[in-house]
Amino acid sequence: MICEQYREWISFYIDGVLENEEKIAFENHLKTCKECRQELEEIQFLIEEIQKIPEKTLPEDYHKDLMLKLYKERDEKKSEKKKLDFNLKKLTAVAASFLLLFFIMTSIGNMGMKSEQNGVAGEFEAAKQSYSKNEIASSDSFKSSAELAKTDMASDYGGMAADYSMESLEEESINQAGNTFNAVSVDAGERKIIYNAYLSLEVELFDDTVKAIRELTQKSGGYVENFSSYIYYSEPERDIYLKEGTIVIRIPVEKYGDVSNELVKFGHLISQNEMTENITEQYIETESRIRMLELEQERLLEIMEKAEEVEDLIKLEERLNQVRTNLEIYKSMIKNWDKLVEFSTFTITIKEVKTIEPIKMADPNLMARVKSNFNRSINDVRQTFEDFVVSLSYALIPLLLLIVILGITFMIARPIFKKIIKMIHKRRDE
Amino acid sequence: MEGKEEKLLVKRAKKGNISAFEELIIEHESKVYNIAYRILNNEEDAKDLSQEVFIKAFNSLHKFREDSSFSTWLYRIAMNTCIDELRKRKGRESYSIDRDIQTDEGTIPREFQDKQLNPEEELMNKELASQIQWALNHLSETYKEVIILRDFQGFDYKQISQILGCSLGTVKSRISRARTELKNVLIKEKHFDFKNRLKTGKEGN
Repeated sequence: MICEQYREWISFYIDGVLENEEKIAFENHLKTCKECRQELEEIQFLIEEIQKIPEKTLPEDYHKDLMLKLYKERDEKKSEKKKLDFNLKKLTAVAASFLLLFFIMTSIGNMGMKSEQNGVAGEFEAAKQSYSKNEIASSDSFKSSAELAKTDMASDYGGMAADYSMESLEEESINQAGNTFNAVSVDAGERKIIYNAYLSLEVELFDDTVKAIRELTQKSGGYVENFSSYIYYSEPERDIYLKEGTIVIRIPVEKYGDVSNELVKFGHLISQNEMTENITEQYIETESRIRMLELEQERLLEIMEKAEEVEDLIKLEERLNQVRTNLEIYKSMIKNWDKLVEFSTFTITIKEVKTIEPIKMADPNLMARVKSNFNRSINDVRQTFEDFVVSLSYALIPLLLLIVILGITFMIARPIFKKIIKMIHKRRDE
Repeated sequence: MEGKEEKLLVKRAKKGNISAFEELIIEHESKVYNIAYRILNNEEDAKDLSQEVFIKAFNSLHKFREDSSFSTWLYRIAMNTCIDELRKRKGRESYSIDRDIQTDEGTIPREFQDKQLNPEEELMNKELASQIQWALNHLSETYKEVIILRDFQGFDYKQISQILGCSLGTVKSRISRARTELKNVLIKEKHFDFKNRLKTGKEGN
């Protein structure tokens, strides 16, 4: 083999990647070839020199800067994603409302309206009557307020019959605007999961059920966060008041299963929905952001001690303020999560139902007959009104279509129409 | 890092977990930074660009198919990013008289087309390390890559072939030629006297 070909092996020899036989051959060649020996020495020297060049140490704050950039990057990505999500949400909302509208319209057609909330302005009926009662009751007097409603029943024209009782929460600190961030639980593996459950129950005795739920809540160490109820159907002459309401309770996570099982027994379960949200990653990341910011804060303080120029001090102070503000924000997020750690949320919708009896036959005495006729007239008015709503719901879509078509036709026709009028005017002028 | 552990971290990082990603990259930060520094020859740029490498890696983590180790994949991104940047710069900024080359050991005036050295420049370029860096800058990209990976960063042949995505044979011959080329540039352009150096080196020992 000639020298040229050995030249390539010099590198391999240095790096020790030659096969055994090749190595021996190469070493033999070196013994005889001074040039190759020289070349080997030079390259070896060069490599050694390169290896002597020290590694560049990372600039101060390299890692921290990088992490900050990464978080920023991720946040930007997330906010983009959120925008998309938001649009999707909007779309879903629109679609859902259309569905709802459709559903309402068909259901109006299918079942008789139970509630009689509107005072009826009937031209052909002498009696216009409805019951008005509007009272805000404080938390504990719900029962008494319902009773009050009965005795207090003065007839009033054109009002709305509603008994509204609202109970505002024991816990003011939890300002939750109906969102899902409610409870965080810590698993053994430090998983943080929010538990939410939505139940819908039909019961026969509303007040008793509410009482039972309250007791259950207290027994399991939770609390009632929100409660509201109203009468959705009333028939005063027969002393029937049906209520509907929503109660939001917060239960320690470890009791979640027990309470869920108990609640289901309180009435006829209409719907049940359980949702969990895993916020472990957000939680851990917020924690590490806090770490980063704390590091930065420390460092800033160190620099501040050394700084002498007023200008520098001011700049440092500014940055320090920023860091502190961010720290506060993240810390309060963690605090908030921690605070809610133990509680899961149940949102229970309760509806009181009764089999509605037909109106009793009137007694043959005068008062009773008057009453009976009066009832009948109310029923007739109601029937008429219902029929009206039903037919309206049926006619609504064609009507809307008609309006749209008319509108479009008008828009198209207007310029043509104008032209014709102009022409007529012209002719007249001529 | 154990393969299993790495896989787990990659999985978590793919879901957007930054802490997991942090664990993955922390041991590579210095190497990526050094690679960028050797290619760009400037601390400021090396910092910016190497950080860009990590951000790129984070953003395209979903494309990482895990048929190589994470580090190989990361270094491949680093290499590509830095070389791309270098190409961009070469196209953009022609050699200007005002802008000197920044190195470890100080400032070296940029060389002109005729590559003639005046005595002053020679004086400034005395330091061997800066001379090597200078010569490195004058190598072609392919040679520069292998010298940085093999001699500066100490990767073995197989790793280099994975990072660069070429065969072992190609890597071998490239390394060999790159070293010869580096030596020749030093001798030709810097009048580097190996014989003398070797002698003094031996006497020194």
